[in-house]
Amino acid sequence: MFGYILKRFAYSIFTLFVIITITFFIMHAIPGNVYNSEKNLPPAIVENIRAKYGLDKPLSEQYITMLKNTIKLDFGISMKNRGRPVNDIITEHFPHSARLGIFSIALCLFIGIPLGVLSALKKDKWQDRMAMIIATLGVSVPGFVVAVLSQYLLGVKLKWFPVIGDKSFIHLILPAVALSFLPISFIARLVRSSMVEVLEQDYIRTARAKGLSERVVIYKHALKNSIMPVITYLGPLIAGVLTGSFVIESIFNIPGLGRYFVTSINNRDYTVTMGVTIFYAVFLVLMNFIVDVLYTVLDPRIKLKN
Amino acid sequence: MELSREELFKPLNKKRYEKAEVATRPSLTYWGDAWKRLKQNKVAMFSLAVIILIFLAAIFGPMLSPYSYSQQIRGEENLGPSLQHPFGTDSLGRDMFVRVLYGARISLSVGVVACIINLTIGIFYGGISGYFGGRVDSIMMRIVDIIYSIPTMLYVILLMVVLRDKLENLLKLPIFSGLQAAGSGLISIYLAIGLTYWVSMARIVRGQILSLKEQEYVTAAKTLGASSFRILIRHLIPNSLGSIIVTTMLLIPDAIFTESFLSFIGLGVDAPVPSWGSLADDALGSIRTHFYLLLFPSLAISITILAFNLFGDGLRDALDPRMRK
Repeated sequence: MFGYILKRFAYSIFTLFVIITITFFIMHAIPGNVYNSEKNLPPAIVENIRAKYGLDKPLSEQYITMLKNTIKLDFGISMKNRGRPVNDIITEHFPHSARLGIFSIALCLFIGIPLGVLSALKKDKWQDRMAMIIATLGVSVPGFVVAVLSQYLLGVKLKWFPVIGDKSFIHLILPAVALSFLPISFIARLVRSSMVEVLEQDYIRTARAKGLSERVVIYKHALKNSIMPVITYLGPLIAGVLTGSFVIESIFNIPGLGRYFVTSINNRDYTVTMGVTIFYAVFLVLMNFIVDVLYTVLDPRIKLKN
Repeated sequence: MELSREELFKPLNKKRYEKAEVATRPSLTYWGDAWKRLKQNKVAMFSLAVIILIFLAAIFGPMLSPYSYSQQIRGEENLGPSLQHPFGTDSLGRDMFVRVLYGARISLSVGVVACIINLTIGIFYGGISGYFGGRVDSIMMRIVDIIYSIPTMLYVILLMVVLRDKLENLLKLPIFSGLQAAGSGLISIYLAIGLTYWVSMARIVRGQILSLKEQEYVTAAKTLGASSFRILIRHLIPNSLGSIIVTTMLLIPDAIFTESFLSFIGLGVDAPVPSWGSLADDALGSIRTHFYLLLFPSLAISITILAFNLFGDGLRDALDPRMRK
């Protein structure tokens, strides 16, 4: 067990190293740099700026410096934003994203799982059909469409919800719904198919034969195994909520990191883009690692290969 | 009573048995069988019809329309939907109907081109990895595992940023003048999506090949002296086509989804070329007064992705009944 965790951890670290390396070389493949687009600066000034950001050194030296800085979690200085450290930007904006993300993931689980259970229990009845129609629509409508439509109809027209910002819990409802629209559908389908499978297994028949009530059979015995696939999906779910937030935060004017990331791309603020990419990658690889470990702890059926 | 040899082995009257032995119907090939099953699935057939219709509209719609996608009709700005402009006009007086149709060209072409790139890389990578097995396989699959654990959208975005800048300079070269019309934005979308989404294809092809290569006909082909390449191209890949097609069908909506997402955050095609994502993005500013500007592109994206998803599900059920849920 401990060996397995250690191996996963080493693997995560290696993945991160690859990600950082790829990101570094992709970013350095960009011709010129941010200052080329501005007014014709005298060459001496360009030289100075390049020296300031270490761009005048050979690529290998820059790469090593960058690796060292990344280990120290130092992502450099914004190129557009008057020397503001990327770390500052992350610590300022990420909490907004995290709040929205946690709320969305909670929403996904608390709506998606019951929806899947319901349609598995009522298999081939109208409840099942309805739930699956909703789920199919859910994977077909992009999050930004849901966001803009709900903002317009429920926010602007009906005035049930505030239109922008994330000051209070009520402000978060619309963006969180837009972010979790697709994952809810996915989770519902996942839980449905695994629950249908689990309900046919012998131990469920045994539980029923023992005379346990239907409620105990379903909620105590079947549900536990049915939601196992959801745990494997947690990694992609977190990634999806994170990338979805790029758009949702812009639409609802939430000062999160996702919105800042998009702005940095449009501003060609490369250090910020790269810093935030690496930050996201570290975050997601870490989450995947936790999910992996969690899964093996929860499901003893998984055989750990040496 | 002794029977002579001739009497013992007397041929039976052939005609008596001929009738009973006639097969009731001609045997079906794998594809014929799949098509029969697909035809019975009404939802899938309806989705197929919708997809064909969207393709036709995308190809011929802009040709038949009296307006072009970039034509600004003065005096007809910000009109609501009417007979003359079924989807209205935008703030620059451009006909939204033709823009949405032209957007269909862009979005569908992204789906198709990105999938061709995915297919090519995925099939060869997965094929080689699965066929040669052993160390080659484990190294190639480790690489895939690492790429798989990288959040795709982040890399599509990062690649977009770089490719757009790179291509902008490349496209200025005379050899690429033919590609100039597409714009660096569109080409980088093709590449960015094509270069990141092949991983799942490679995994599926590898899995198929791994199980297929143990079959007798592969041993037979080897015995006959067929080269590895020939076995891969003539035997293994054609036999895994079913799952390859299903995966492709389900990757197309993914690619369209990603394109609209990228265009929506301002990383997509270059103006004035419209894509569904950029049309929705453009509509944001005037959503309170001109809601229809957003409605039509959004509907177009959702209907297309829905049709592809439903058709892909139907195709999976038809091609591989074992995968049916």
